[in-house]
Amino acid sequence: MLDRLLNGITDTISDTLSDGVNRLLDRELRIGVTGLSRGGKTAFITSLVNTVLSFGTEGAQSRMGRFRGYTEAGIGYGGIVQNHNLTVPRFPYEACYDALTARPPRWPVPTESVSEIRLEVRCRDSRFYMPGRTRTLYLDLFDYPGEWLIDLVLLGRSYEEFSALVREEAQRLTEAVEGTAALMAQCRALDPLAPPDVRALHAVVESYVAWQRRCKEIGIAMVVPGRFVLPGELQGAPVIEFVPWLGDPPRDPPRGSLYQVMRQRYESFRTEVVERFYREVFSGLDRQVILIDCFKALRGGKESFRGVNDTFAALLGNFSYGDSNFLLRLFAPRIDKVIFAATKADLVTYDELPHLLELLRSMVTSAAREVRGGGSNCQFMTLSSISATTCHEITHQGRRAQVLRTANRADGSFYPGTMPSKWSVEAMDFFREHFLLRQGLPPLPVEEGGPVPSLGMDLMLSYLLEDKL
Amino acid sequence: MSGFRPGFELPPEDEATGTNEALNPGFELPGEEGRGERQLSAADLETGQISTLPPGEEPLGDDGEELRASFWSSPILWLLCLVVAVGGLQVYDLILSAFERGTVGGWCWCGGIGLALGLALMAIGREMRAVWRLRSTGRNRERAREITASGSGRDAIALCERMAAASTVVDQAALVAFRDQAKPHFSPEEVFSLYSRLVLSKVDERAKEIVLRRSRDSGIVVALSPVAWIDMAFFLARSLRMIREVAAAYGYRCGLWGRFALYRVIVRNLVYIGLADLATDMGADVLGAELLARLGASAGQGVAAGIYSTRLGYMAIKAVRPLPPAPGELSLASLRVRLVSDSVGILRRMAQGKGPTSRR
Ligand SMILES: Nc1nc2c(ncn2[C@@H]2O[C@H](COP(=O)(O)OP(=O)(O)OP(=O)(O)O)[C@@H](O)[C@H]2O)c(=O)[nH]1
Ligand SMILES: [Mg+2]
Repeated sequence: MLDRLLNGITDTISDTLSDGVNRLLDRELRIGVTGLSRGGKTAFITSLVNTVLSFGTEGAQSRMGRFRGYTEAGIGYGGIVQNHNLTVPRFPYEACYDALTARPPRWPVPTESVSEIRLEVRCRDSRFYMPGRTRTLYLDLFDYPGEWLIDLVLLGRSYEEFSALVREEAQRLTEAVEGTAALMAQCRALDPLAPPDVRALHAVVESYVAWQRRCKEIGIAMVVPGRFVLPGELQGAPVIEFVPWLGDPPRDPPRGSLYQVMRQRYESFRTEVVERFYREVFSGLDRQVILIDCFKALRGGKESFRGVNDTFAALLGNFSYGDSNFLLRLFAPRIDKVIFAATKADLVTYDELPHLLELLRSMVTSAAREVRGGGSNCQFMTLSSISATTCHEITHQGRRAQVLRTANRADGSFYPGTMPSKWSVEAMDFFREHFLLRQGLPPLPVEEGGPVPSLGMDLMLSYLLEDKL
Repeated sequence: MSGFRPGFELPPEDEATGTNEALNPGFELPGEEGRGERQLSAADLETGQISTLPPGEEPLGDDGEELRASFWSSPILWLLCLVVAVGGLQVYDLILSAFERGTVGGWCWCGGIGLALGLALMAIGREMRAVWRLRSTGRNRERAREITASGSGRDAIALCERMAAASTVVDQAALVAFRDQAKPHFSPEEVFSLYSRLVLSKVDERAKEIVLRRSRDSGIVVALSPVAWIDMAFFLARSLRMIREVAAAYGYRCGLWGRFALYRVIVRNLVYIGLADLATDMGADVLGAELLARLGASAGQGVAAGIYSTRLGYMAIKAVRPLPPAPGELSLASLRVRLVSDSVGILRRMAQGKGPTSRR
């Protein structure tokens, strides 16, 4: 009894203390948006910013059905404030939003560099000694090209390990990807012990990048280094002029030999490019949102079957998970909650959403285990950041059925088909044969100043913010 | 660092709630209008159709069937018929003899008996309605469970609409807010928890207050009264009253039969569900027991009576609440902790009030 009482008292004291410190610092939440290229990161951030900006306006509440903190914590305002890091460009929210309000509406353009946006959310202060005050919560979000994300798997790998990784992958893909054998031959033709021949090396790098592109086309996620495909400001820099060694590694390559030069370049690529990117975008995260495009993964075919789960498990190995206690957070920030979201959920009808959710769960089992093992909380949800369709109900062949419609009424409606609820090769085959996957649908038009049509943003916000309000 | 592993194990069969065995291919429809197509939104669900159930078939369940069978074969029914027949003959006799004595008197008798019959029928109707409403609440709850297991958010919204229409205590503004915020792509649990939060929470709060107040009263009276049988009687009366009030808070004005039906449900819950609750609420019981030991014997009895009374109240809430309470919303443990802290406070104040000499 007594010790319980004592525990209670110490808990209260430490809670009050950490509250006080948080009060001084105001609350900050760094949210890591993780998603492979074309996974919907930019769309998600645009929609999130739009939702936060709508806080406190009329009609916002009707879209926040599952976010109970919205009313309970009395959120009354949301806005964009100046970046945390002034040297990072700001996320082009206005450009993305304007593209949606344009006629015809367009998707945000593919991202080519890192950008940041900082949001502020004001709510009522609920602590008894601060009645009537408002409290501010800051959210930091980063956008970046999805190609760069995959490079995080290189963080802990030496040049030899990196080469082995690609070699294995290439051997596996010899039949699936045309030109694999030619690439291998071209790489083997290089003399590892001779000094590098700039022209020959450049030619090999170019064919390597072309091969990477072909891999991506068939849905393989693990194409490293992703930076090669989208070099950004590194275009032409020597740090990305290297290829993995696809032949047998040479014994004792002398200094200045091709092999040594490539190894050096890889090392500086790893430490100066990948690590810097990681530090800039992913260090000190509190929450992580992992966007997964199940449709793309299903469409990928057998070669990409094992891709998603392994890719994410490998990626997640770079983050540290676990309960974030206040003192710990100061010194070693930890992600205490990870949200796996199946994006583009507007490509199926409402009655298929539960299946999509099941599919997501079965796709990321080992990644989720990685997270849970660290002691973090895992959530799964379906999400459509910017919807391209609306769901309707019709009577079809005497039965009621749900169908989708695009913004273009002349298109008619369509029923995309059942979503497989388990990640298996058969499901993939079925999906590729029978599922009507409409690609390149334009987003639904947005009225000037109006809300971005979305599904599940309320749930996302409740997972992200509920316990911080 | 897991890298590329050569083999891949298929994810284990998980607790899939939405596994779909039959996979349907997609189809397209030409772009004409006029198939009775409408965009899904919560607002146009007032038809109240629930698609997980075949239309036109009210799911009575085995319970209803069984009840009907036993109804017709029951000897009580035949006895009742006999009584009604005999009574009818007697009344007929009475009226006949009254007419023999004089026409005016005969009509008076006729009117009187007709009035009495009408009143009796009305009363019976009211009673039947109360019983029927209680039963339909049970059915709705059953359906809510079915929809949660295998229905859609749309069905859940339709069911909530139906429950709201059947209830007399629903706050219209809250219902409007619910309609505004519930969306057909929500999962059934999400819809139900939204309904609980927006529509039912006020009523829940009221019911909780009633349970706490009545339990506290019972507890204090039991603690203070010197004679055992008085507090027994008091406890019983208070408990019955509490149940009636809780039911009224949820919109059930039950008559005699309704009340008995309610008591039956509660007692059954006490016996079956009570055990499960007991297991989950051990923590609170331990707290109770510790306190009991520290308080004196009679105060301990009072606290025990209060605790039993809250359990009864909780069962009453469970019996009449349109949706089963979710663990976070309303739990026996939380009720009990509040009760104990409340009544200890009151007892302490009373002890102080008695004078500085009384021992603390
Ligand atoms: N139907 C639908 N399509 C979406 C949604 N979100 C994204 N998309 C599609 O996915 C494409 C990529 O979305 P982005 O948000 O640009 O993806 P990203 O992750 O930022 O891609 P990178 O910047 O290249 O890494 C868009 O052009 C859309 O076609 C969605 O919610 N619904
Ligand atoms: Mg982008």
